[in-house]
Amino acid sequence: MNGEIGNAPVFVKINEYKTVASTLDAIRSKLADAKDNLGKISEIKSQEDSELKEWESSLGEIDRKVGEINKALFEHPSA
Amino acid sequence: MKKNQQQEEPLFVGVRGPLEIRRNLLEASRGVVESLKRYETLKVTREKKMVAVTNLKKDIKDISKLVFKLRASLPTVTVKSPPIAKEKAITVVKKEPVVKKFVKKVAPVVKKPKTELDKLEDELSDIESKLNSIS
Repeated sequence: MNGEIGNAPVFVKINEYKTVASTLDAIRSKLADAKDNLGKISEIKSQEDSELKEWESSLGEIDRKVGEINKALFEHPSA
Repeated sequence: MKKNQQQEEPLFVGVRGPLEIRRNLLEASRGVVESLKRYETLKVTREKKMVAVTNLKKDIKDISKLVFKLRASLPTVTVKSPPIAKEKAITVVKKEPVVKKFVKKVAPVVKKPKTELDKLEDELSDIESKLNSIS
């Protein structure tokens, strides 16, 4: 029964055809803007990730240097 | 007296390779300053991201409004809801008093104000039910 309803021809009178067309255009335009913004976010996110990685390696380097200083100051060879 | 003597005689510790230590210290200082610089860069990047996210949110809200406008512009077509949906509606009505009794017995339920997420959930379930009635 549902199939019959679905297949039956339906005639719809659109009173505000111009409004509908312009709204659809606006939706498509906004969708393009949203896609553009999403691309920007993705780009910034990868930039952020790489900055965080650089930061991590920088901190690792500081840790290594401090370790060497600590070793030179407090770990004297017994000889 | 002894205490004063101890204060007057400082203790020295020999440092081997002072140049190396000084170099390491300076390099560590450089690393720290570079880290602070990186923090500033990251802050700017995050601000940019926030602006982009805000713009995206605004775009999506605009799209939502436009879709509603489109739905309002199109004529409403009455679709016969399938019998299963009607049965469901009846069962829900039957269950209502049971739920009310249960609530009365346990404790008075304080209604929390609906969050944005709750509103969206409601809207989604409304659309889902409409879709179910079509198919």
